[in-house]
Amino acid sequence: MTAYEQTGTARPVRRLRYRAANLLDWVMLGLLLAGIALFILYPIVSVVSTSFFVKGQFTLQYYLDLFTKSNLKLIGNSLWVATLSSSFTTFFAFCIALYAFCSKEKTRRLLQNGLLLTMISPPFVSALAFILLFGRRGIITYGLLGLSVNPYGWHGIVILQTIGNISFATLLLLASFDTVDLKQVLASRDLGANPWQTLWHVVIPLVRPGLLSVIFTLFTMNLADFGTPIVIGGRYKVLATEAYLQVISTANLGKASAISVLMVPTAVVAFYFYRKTLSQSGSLAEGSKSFSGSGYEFELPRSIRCLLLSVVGLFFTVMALKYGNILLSTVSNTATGHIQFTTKYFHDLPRSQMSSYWRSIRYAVLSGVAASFLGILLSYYTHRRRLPGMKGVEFIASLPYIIPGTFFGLGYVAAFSHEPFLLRGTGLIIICNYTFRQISVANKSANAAFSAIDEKLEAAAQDLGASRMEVFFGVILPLLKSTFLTCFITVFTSSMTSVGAIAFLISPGKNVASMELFQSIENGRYGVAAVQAVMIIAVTLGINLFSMYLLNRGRKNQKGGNGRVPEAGSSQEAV
Amino acid sequence: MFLKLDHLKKLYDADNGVKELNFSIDKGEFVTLLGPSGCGKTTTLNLIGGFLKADSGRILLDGEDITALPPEERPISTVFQSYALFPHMNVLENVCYGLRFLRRMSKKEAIPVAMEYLSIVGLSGYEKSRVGNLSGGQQQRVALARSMATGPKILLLDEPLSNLDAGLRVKMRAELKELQQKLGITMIFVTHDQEEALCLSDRIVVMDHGDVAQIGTPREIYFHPESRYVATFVGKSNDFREGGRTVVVRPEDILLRMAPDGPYTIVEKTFMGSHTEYVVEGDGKRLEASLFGRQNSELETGARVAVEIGHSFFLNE
Amino acid sequence: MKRILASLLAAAMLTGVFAGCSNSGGQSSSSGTSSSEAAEKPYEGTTLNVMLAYGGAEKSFDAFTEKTGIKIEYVEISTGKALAQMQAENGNTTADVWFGGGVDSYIAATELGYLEPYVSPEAEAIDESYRDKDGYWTSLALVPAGFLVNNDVLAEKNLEAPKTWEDLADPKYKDEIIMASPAISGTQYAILNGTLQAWGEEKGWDIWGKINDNVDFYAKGGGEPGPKTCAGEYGIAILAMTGGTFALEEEYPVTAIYPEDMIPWTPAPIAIFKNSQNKEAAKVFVDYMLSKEGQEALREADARIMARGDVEVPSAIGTVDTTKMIKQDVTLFGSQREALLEKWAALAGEKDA
Repeated sequence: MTAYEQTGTARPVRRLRYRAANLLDWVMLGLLLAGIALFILYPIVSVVSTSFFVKGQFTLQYYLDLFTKSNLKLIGNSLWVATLSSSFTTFFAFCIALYAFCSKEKTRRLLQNGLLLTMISPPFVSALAFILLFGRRGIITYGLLGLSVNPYGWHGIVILQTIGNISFATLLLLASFDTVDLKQVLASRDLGANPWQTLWHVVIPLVRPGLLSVIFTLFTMNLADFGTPIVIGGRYKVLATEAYLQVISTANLGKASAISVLMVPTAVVAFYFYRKTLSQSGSLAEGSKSFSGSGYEFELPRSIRCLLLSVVGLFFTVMALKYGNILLSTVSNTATGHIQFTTKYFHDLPRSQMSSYWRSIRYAVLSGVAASFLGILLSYYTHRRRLPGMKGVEFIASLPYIIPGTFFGLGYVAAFSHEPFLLRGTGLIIICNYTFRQISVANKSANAAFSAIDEKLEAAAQDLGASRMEVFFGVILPLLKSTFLTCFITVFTSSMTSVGAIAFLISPGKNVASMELFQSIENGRYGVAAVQAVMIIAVTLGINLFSMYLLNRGRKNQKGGNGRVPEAGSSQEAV
Repeated sequence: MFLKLDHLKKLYDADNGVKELNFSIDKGEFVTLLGPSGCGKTTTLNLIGGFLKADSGRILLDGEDITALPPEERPISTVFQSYALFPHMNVLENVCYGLRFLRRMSKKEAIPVAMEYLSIVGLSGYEKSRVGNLSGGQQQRVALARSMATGPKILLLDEPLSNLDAGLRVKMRAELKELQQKLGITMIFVTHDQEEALCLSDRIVVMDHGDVAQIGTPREIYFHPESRYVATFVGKSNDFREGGRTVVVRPEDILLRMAPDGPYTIVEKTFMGSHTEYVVEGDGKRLEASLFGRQNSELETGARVAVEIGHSFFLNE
Repeated sequence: MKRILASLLAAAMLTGVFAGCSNSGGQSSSSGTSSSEAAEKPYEGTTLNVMLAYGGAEKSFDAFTEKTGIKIEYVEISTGKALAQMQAENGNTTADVWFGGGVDSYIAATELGYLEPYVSPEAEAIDESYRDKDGYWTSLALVPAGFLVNNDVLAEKNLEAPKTWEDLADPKYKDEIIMASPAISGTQYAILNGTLQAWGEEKGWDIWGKINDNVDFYAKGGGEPGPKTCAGEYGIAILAMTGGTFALEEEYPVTAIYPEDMIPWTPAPIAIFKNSQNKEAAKVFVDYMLSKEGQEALREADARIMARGDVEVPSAIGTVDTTKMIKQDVTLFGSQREALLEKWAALAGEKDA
């Protein structure tokens, strides 16, 4: 055995290395803050200021005009639709999540993957399928049942928003179910409660924070959704469509901005509740184990099981119909209620389709990587380094996600159409929009992941001589690999399918696939739109499946690990 | 004087933190910070490790002021209560970590050193294991090897044995002591377990509400506690007033003798195997006594006894 | 391993930034021409960015690129939306040429100073009423408006196809008519303005009031009524009559009908943006599109009545009686726009934005 050899305090050379790392650390933080200021705060301030200034003159006129009778009706409409859709979605999502909770590991994973895949939905695909299947001349309503149903109106919006968000909401809830400690359920049974009572008095109270968080998140999303009401709302108007139409019909940026501002308080309130419930659920998550995977099973009464199973069945039937319809629409004309096969839609693709398609994939990959990285970085500086003021920065970073997409897009138009940041017509503006709109998604998953990683790990690494950068890149990032991958998929998917925020940012030669799809639908080329939708689905599906494969492989490698690495794939609070 | 804490202060609020610490530690010493939870012992450790910034005061190591240095620049290493092993690395990679960053070794240079320390802690053959697959005791040894391999001037141990079961704890205790003596590393050990403190330490720092209650060798602390706090926290004790002073007697310093007219009556008896614990009352006192040996286990409750006090001491009040 | 991951990340981000930057201005300024070619194709390699509101027109761009070496990138955007976007950008558009759509937006853009005046030598062959007197915009084609009816739906409800605009006001068509919002669709706006010019304000608003009673809701784009009618969701669509409209007859049980009383129409103009960095190449493009050759190519791509008098009316848009086309003052499209849309909003109420 060699003699014990001591190291001293850091010598100048080593100190220099630490100083350099610290400098780099500040640079990284600086870039992050600058990015958030420039690509989130500045656009929002720019667009909000258009609602206060007319030709350089301060005015509240836009806001005074909002409170007319017809606008109050719009507000009422928005609240009505958002409330209904959010409640229904939460109900169905709860049923599916509960079913998964009570199922064996295998079924559960299958359900989870199914839900992840059904989150891939290019814009308007649901609406298109809905009209073609259940509309006045729908294959089902008219062709099979002989009914002529008017799908346009608030009920159409509610149905589509409800169905459209179920996958997402269920995944959120599943994460919350994961925090339920099996032992508590067993204890409840042991103390004489039957499964139904256990469900009511133990399980539901435990997932309540999750349920609340889901319902508030959905409420915000539905309030800001302009795509669904515009396609299926008919004469029924909501705030989000009004804001969009104000811009595209009368170029009234100020009024549109004022309307959007009106939506912000509700979104902020929803966000507040979300944060509150999150902090509660965070403490519950400590040291708990997911129910499934262990040998025990939680058996519900037969009647409830049947109800849950039928909800699951119904949901996946609707999904099968939706995707089946889109596939069928690429090679056939079903608009008349019966099917005629054709290949013409492939020839009719716009000339720019392929270049837009590749551009989309490139941009979505870049923004997926960038948003995941920046989101994790933000989480790190806020919750690990606990730098003062970072909580505020985190809130600002979450704004693009909670305000209507078109509003954020308009912000970019207002901010980057002139010097000193003239970015209009570049690809960069689209990438930045994708990236910064999704930062909070990555930020939130990273927060969840961080709370599951022992903080002492970073202390240990630093103690062992790693500089700040080496801790971040050598310990934190590798531990968050699965979080990174999950965030990447989420951001990639939503970038590939995003329309609202970038509707005003594309320019000739800088078009993207989702907008080509939107333009096809606007021009009534439904067959072509179906082909474009399938192309988007194909690549997104491919990336998703590949990532799932990587995640599963990673999970296998980690198996038997000390379990501090958070389960990915469930994309906890991937809002 | 190797490490010196000089008027070191870190207060979270009026009651939490450390108020003003002044003590020094010699090279090669094994010093334990002992106290109940909330007494400031972990805060002290984190101040020395550099994980907390002191409000005021200085920390001197080997004549050098290290108060302002961040943890990575201090020649001090910590073994955490939860071990804080990197779950994404195997055992060898964990041990190499500090060698590469702190001692600037290449991977090639680091491996033999790491292997050597793994063999010191008895983990040869586990190099490629994932840390998650190890038992608690093995994880403990990896954490030790990882810290020692960096060659710290002081090794800090934050309740490192608290996550182990009783048998293993005793075994690791012995190994730790042996390692310390073999390598001569200065160690500061934090625990709330008095037995651990007594058997491991060269000196014990008993802490109370952010202050040092007493510093001394285990024998000094046990046999000459300076306050009731120390006397009751370290070991069991009986105390009673006599001649205007408080007298303290350890239960094992009391002998009971059968005496039909003795002034004391046995009111409780607990047989512990190696010894038997009695509670006796009489003469306005209630005393606990621990008696060793088979014969001493044969006294019955209700019996009258005489009491002989072997060693007692007064508290400085 | 970790270092690799880290550097990959950094690289990916940097690539993104640089890709974005280099894409920003690069394409439009590149001009790698050899001197011999320069005589024939002086703008070879230049890329023109086009805002397109002329369904199918992109098929005619290849011929132009082959002839001049100028590449065309385009994005489809309805003119109302394009105008709104330009206003939001203060006219700092990155596009070079505006192609097709409703003339009202062109007139508004002219007033806002977003367009570059250019009188093409080819414009002589185009009727004066089809172009701006100062050359801010020139018509490529005339887009007539009419009806598309779903024969099945009408037969099922025992309804006859409408023959005139006034027929649409008949209550029997309640909830069977779909048309776009004139605030969004240039064509629809032209129909409204044109018929009002023909009928006179009082009679005109009375008829539109009755038509409004028959409309369930207003579509948010000129492209929507056609497909919805083809799908049998509505019996009657009011829409632009182009080759594409007539092509629907082959696929669906629909018939395209020119109204017998009068045919509203709008010029589909072309214009160059003031902010364009490639004005010379843009002029080459405008000249081509207004030339007989270009007009024929464009007619081939999407059949319309071309602006040039010497290009025949295509057979693909049925037999249009050009004498029935409304004699209208196109300049009023611009000047009346705001007042007219305000009145419209009051009439349509919540059915429209």
